[in-house]
Amino acid sequence: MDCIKNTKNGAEIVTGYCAGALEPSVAQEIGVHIAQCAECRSEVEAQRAVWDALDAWTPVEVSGDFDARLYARIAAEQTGPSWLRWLRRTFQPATPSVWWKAGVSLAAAGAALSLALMIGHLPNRTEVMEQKATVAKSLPASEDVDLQQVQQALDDLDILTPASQSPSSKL
Amino acid sequence: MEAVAALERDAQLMLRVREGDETSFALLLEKHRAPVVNFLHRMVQNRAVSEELAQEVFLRVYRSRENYEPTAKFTTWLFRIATHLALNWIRDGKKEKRNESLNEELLEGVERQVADRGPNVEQAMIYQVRLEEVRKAIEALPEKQRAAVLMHKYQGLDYSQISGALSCSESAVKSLLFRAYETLRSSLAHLA
Repeated sequence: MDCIKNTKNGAEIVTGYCAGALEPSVAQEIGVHIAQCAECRSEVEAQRAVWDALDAWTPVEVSGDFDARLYARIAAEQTGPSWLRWLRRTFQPATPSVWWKAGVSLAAAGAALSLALMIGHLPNRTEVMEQKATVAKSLPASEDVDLQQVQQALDDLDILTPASQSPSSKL
Repeated sequence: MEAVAALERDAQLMLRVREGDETSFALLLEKHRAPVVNFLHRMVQNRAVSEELAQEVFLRVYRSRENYEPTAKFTTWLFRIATHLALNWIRDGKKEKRNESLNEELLEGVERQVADRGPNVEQAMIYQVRLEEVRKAIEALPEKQRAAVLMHKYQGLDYSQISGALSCSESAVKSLLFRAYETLRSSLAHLA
């Protein structure tokens, strides 16, 4: 057979071999190959070393009153109000609920749709120019007067300023 | 073949629990109590917390009996609940509390051995050090890798069951296990 390390599922085979999870016929075939291939043997030995080291963590004993405590909790729930049981079933499901994933998808879809609508309504360059022209036309004539008044005020200030402080005196 | 028959029996028992048969629940509890507690103990590394979480697992199993459908293997469903609770507990950031408890457990173990005054006190202490190394190496793994290794190594779950418990594909489980064992190989190399 081909070298295990060169096969697609090499790591999986080594792990399965060390875990004793392979079919007996496959395990036997792997065993024969390992006996001949130093590289694969080294791989299996390294994996076995990990496996053996992990065996150091032996199981703990369960407390003697585990069942009693559990049944007490069950009894307490059974005697509680039905709305509380309903709440627990709804908000503490046995396996993680995926309803929120659907919510997130819906929210994302909504956001994308809103963005698409906004982009669809953005004015193009021609529209912007037209809007500017409309605004300019609608501006009152007093705008020009105001600007002239400001200019005049600034000139007056310049006259009132002493010559020593005037910027033109420095020239 | 025996495993398949056993799993089918678990599902049948659970269906009987759904019908109101309390004895079937007791049988399921008897069979899965220790594996669930040990899985959780290795996940959270705190004995009291692991029992508390295991109680919550069986409580949720009992609570959802009325809606139970044997769509997946019972063990897969059970370990999915356990994994979910353990990961939530870990993510809640209770690490400091856990470590304190872990140190207490280790000290208790060593003190018990010394108090016994047996001929193998030194061996017992070496064992405790070795155990501590293994615990640390497993604790250092990312959560999902840790759960995958614990289910694979200690609970004997196959790829399909682990993928069901972790809600991911079988190829993702293989990748998780490969990376986890690679990491453990380097972190535990000095113990070989």
